Amino acid sequence: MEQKRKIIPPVYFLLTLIAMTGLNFLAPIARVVPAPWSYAGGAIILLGIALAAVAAGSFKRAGTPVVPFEISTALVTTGLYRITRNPMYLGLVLALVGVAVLLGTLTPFFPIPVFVWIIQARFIRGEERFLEELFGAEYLAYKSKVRRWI
Amino acid sequence: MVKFLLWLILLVLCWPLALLALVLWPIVWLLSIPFRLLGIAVEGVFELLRAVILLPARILKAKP
Repeated sequence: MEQKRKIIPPVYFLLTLIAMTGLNFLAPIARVVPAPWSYAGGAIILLGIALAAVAAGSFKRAGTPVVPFEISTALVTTGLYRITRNPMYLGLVLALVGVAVLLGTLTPFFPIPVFVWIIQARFIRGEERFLEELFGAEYLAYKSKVRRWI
Repeated sequence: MVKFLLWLILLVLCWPLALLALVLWPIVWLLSIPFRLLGIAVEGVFELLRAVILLPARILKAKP
């Protein structure tokens, strides 16, 4: 039987990025972050990438898969996972915020909450249910201490 | 829950402001993320400084 191909978060990230760039050029409405302040977006993008990369590194060290829908083998609660339960997704969101700041117009900010909603509805909630089943009380204790985003 | 109740009170008192808050809330939340991370990083640096400064006292205290 042919397995249905699932869309992974980087695809949604790229689609959001395309929507943001399109809105910036087609309907910018207003400039909300003027230069040189908009250059801070570059630093925010780097911070987002670093956050996602460090979190992915923690997963690799723990020997658990990074790709969603794959079975986790370890519960990572150290490092960045002490401040957020989803540092990789947070890194993606932060990178998008950085791009919006760098573009500097109003409309590129609008697709980001949609991206957050999609990621939360399609990935995070399912992963939480799965981790609850897999790790039980250990995950529930972690969940009560650390926030979903930040 | 408390946030929702506060928003309901705002909706009763001044509905245009409540609707504006509803629209702007995701954008404000997004823009606050880098500042929150910065806050956590600064807190971490202060925690480290505190640990370094109090290290001699902790060593002396630990001696019987």
